[in-house]
Amino acid sequence: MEQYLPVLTLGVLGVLFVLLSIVASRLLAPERATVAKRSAYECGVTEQVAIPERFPVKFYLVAMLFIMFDIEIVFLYPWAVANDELGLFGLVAMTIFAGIFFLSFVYELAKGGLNWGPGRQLITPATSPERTTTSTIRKVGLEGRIEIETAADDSEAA
Amino acid sequence: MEALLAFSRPALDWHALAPELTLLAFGTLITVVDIIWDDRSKQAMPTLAGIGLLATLLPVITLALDGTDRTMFGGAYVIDDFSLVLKALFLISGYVVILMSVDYIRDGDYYENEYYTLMLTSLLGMVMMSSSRDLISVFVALELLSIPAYMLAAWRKGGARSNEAGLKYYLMGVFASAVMLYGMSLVYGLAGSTAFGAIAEELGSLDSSPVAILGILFILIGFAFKVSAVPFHTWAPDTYEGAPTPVTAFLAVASKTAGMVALIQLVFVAFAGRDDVVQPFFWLIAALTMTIGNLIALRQTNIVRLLAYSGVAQGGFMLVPFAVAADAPARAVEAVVIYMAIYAFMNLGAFTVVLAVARKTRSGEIDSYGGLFQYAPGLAVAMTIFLAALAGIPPAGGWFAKFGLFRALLDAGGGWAAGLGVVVAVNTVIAFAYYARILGQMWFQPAPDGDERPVVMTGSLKAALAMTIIATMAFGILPGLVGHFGEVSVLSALGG
Repeated sequence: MEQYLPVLTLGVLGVLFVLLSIVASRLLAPERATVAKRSAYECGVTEQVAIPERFPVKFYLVAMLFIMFDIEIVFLYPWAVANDELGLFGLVAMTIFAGIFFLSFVYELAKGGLNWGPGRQLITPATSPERTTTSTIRKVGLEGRIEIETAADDSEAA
Repeated sequence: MEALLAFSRPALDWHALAPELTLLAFGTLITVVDIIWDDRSKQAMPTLAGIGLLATLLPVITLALDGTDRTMFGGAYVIDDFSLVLKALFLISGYVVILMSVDYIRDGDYYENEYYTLMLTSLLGMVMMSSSRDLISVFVALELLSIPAYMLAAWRKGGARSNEAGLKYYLMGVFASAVMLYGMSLVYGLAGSTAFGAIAEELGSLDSSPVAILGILFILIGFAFKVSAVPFHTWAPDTYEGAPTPVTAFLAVASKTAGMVALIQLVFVAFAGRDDVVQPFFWLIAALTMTIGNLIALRQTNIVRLLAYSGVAQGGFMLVPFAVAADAPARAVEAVVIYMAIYAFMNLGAFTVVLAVARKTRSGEIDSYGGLFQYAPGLAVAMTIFLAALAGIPPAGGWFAKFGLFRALLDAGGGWAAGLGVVVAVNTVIAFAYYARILGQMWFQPAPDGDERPVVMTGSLKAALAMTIIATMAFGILPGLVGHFGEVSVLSALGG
């Protein structure tokens, strides 16, 4: 089992490092707390009201867009540098790559990733189009009505 | 600098790349159809994904008929019998998973088009994995198969458990990748090359280098996370229970198989000369995984969780041949490949039954399986076949897989191999205890609340069930059939 000795040594060193760091910071760091030190660091204005529990985070889609094109640039840059060497082969390969990549952008657009402004109002008619005066005058109950609850569920899921 | 810049166009063998390109094309096609027709195309998506997988099988078959080993990108990408058998296994398991998904995803009102795109992407990673013979291509394939799987595990967006499943799987997966990358960087630093053949030569000549041992162990530990080997299994039960059931089946079968494939290539090709490090590691991991997986499975009351722990234990059985990797390499590769093929079908089958029963009972508790034989005799018989196969009782397929393990151990010989054989035997008995508990519940207990309405089976579930039953029984009755597929050598890559 002596072949595993280096692994054991590394494990012991790892544990020692963590323990030493904790102990050292306890012993060495001075604890003089002030109001400025305890406040949230550089996080804008101190909040005045409690934030609502859930709020829309639509902006993450824009961040995703940024990451997507970031990745594309990571691959485009070396190609641009080595373009003379790679020649036509590189151009064709990068065109295919960019084409597939562009699809993800189109996908995000198609799914409404960049639709800002007020949320789309889902106007659900309260009654079915088959409903006429002849069919409603006698029927006062729920017949003929679209089940609004299920319709709302569908729109939420889609 | 001049040498670095010198570029020669790599020779692309389009026939060899055809399976990957077909999968990619269908994944892209699904996205395009989704963009153009949006919700109107939902109905067609499972069909399109299924056709994509079957179309991908065609070039795999023509490559197998052609029979020549093809090597590309300086030996980084190899098409040989080993990779073709596994590609076919991944594609067929993927097809069964899609059959299982159709109604689950549609009825649950989840995102559909994205589900199938991600499934195909993950399968693309697996198909690539079986051909990769280079640290970089192994890593790219691993991430390509893992990242869609993280998202699929969290597909029940509204459910807290599914979110937990996705997050746990993601964090543990990323951690494992980091450990693995550290190992890869050490190995690359020593060998000066990412190709498995070159690594084998370099590592074999560095007998007492501690860095080599660290590098090898870190890479193996990274993949041990992927195949949920004890003590790196902690994410598996929570992820399996929380994820949508078809995705659980996908993770338990396809994802685990992909990890095993990577381990085969690493252990038998890249680390071939370092059995002093590899063999004791796998001896310990395999024994721990089998024993602990089985012991915890004994205590489970939820069937998905039970199958998760049983999957951990089955993974332990698959790791057994690695412990004799150098003593009996040919037999060991054969044993793992056969075990993976049989395990895929019997486990997918068990999950299909769980899915079908849950459509009626809306429950995953073992208690809810009472009276299954009365109101759904067909499902009860099918489940019996799959559980018998998992337990290793002939004539269902599993016995041949276990037989392969013992054959590899006996070929290797010696005290350590015999000791591991005893552990395997003891664990087979323990496993039988909890499989028998489900059987007893199905056959002898009354239905809970006297609810004996029949289970509504859909066409796709029936097809999935038929495929898995036929495969499981065929492997049990005609073991020569699968034995032939197992006779593949991963070593041909060394020459390429």
